[in-house]
Amino acid sequence: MKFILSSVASCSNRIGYIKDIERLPGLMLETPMLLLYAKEYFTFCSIHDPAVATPYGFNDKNTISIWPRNGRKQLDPDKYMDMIEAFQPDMYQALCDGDTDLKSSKKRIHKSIDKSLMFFEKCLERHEKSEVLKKSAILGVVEGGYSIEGREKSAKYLADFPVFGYVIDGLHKNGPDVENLTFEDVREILEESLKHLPNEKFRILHGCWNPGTVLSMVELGIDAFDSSYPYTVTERGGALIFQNCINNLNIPSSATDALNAAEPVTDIELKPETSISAQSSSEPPEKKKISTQEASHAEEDKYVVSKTQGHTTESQSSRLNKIYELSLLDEKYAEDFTPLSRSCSCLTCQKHTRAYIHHLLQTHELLGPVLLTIHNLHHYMEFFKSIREAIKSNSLESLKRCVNERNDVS
Amino acid sequence: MGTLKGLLPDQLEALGCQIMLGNTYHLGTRPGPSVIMKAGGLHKFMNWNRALLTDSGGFQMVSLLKLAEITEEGVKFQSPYNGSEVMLTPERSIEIQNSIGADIIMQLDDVVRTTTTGPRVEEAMLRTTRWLDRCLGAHQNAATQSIFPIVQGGLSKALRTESVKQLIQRDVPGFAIGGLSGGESKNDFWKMVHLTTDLLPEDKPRYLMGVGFAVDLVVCCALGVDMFDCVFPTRTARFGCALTCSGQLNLKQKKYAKDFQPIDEGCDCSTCERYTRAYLHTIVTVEPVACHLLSVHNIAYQLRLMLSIRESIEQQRFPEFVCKFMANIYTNKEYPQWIVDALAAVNIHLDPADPTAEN
Repeated sequence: MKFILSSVASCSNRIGYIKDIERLPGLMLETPMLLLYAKEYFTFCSIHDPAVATPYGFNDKNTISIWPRNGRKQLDPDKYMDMIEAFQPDMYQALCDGDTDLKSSKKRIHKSIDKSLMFFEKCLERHEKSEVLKKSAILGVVEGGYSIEGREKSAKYLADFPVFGYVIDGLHKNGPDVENLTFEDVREILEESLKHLPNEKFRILHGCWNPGTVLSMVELGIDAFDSSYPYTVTERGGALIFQNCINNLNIPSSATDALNAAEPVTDIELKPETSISAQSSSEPPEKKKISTQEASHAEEDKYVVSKTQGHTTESQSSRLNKIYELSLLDEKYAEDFTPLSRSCSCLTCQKHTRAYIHHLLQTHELLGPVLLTIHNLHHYMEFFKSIREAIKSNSLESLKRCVNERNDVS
Repeated sequence: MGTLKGLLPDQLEALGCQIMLGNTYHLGTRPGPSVIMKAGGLHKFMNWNRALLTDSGGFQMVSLLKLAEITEEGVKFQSPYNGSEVMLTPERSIEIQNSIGADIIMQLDDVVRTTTTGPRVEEAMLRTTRWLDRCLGAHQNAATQSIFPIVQGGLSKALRTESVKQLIQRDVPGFAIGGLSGGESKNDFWKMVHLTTDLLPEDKPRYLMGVGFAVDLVVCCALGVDMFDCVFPTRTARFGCALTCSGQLNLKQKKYAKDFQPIDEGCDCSTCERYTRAYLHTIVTVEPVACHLLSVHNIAYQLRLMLSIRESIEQQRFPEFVCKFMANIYTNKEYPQWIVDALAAVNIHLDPADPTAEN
């Protein structure tokens, strides 16, 4: 398996390709990518489910704990590698102790680094000896919690090993609360982790990051994310409607569609950046009102580039989420016979209405989450297509703006 | 509820489903007839372009609600949502069904448990006829929605006969047989079905309500029934059971943990195409998708069964089909007596020594 990059600047956005996958020759995957690639069931094995909060603690000197259905299990590198050899995934991460977050003590952080390095060496040893894993790629796991020195130590150590790439770990303990972390919370340690890693290697970052944060992380040099975010949105009856590409001018749905953001309506007219984008829309750009546009950007900056260190408050993050999704459980959709999104080509939007989905969710019918999942995954994968196109055409800034603008299509 | 256990309308179409049943009681409550009307009817609300049938809403009330009181006026019960008193009259039932817009609608009937005896049974049967007339009077869409009356009479030959006699005097496009598929013995069950189908006109469809185990379907087709409804295939899917020609598989059982066959080698549904029993064993009753996957299979099984029945009738080999079917289920040829009797009543003979029963 090979990872080929077309740009090599440190800590910046990248376009890449994974190809020559031994089990799936002829398949080529472009990055940045969502670890749910439709084409051919490329498999990646992580340790925990990023959509589910991992209980913390329960680690000892030689093992970490995982939480299958029938109760806690302890894994050491040998047990772990036995499982990996049985699964034979196309790509997998080494066993690691990522049980750190914003609040972790220095002691915990250093333990996690040292243990993870020890695990890594053992896993790599098993990997290199293994017959059945000859076609699989192993990833090193960078730890260090929120300690700059820790990150430096972990990344520098791993940088010399012959791995396919890296998982940047230890920023959180999975689950839907990850949405509450802002990019500013993690920027410094991400930068630190990445700057010591070889540029040409593949980087994954797990977690339920919102689209704005994902874009910022792409800018920093992350190549792959997982689908825990669209999954989490579905679980709460949400439908993603953020603008997931640069071109699409928002088409207002109907007069009754109120804005979802907690902010009062301001006089924004959305305008795509037509000058930079290679694929320009045929419609002329709308005239903007300069003063309100500046005001809206100031608001935006508050969300996207938060100056506050540390945690985002509940209300800030729920307002943030309102930019990206509709809450289909809300009564106001009971008689809304329009699709989730007029510009979406997924089955749900082509064939079903908000009113129907609202009804299904209210009555706890399985079809509700089914239809939402179809839409949310589709929408999110289209988002990743847009990311790749934006990088190629040097218009990531425009995409960022489009994604974070409050969506008048609600 | 406006959906079938998580299956997309597209999937149901692909499985060959021609008609779906919508539950008037539930739909009438949520989302309610007003929303459905605004959507342009249930077909449009669900985006289902084939046929729909709604029941009257009466059965749910009798079976779900303990405080139902039945009078000549209608069925009075306490709304489970806000405790207020609600009256479902024949007129109101038809009104709701008119707004839902299904292709076939049912009269509101006075239904009693099959285990009920005494004058109540006759009262219910006679009242059902009176309510039929009220339903017919209230029906607004005779041109686009077919209304079926429901034969009642419990387990009494005389009452069933009288019920049919009264109902066939009305100008209706088809007939339902109600009040069976409850707690009665199979022996009583088949006799009432047989009696009723003998009396009903041959040129109109007969719909036996609430009957759905595979064996019952085959027997009742032999007895002259044309249409059935049953929650069994999807309900049993929820509990991890898959239906096959040789019976039910309970995929929760440990013996399937390493069974890498599909549910049924001969089944071409999407679940059998891609998934093994072993995989399904790990997810049944745990992951919601298991319910979905098993529902797809069970519906495919049920529809394929009905298709085979139809084909065997068209090809003049229905009796052989029945014998083979029964032999697959009862591999030791120990057929329950009621099945033997019911089939014999229509000249199909299950006999262990019968050469046509051999595979």
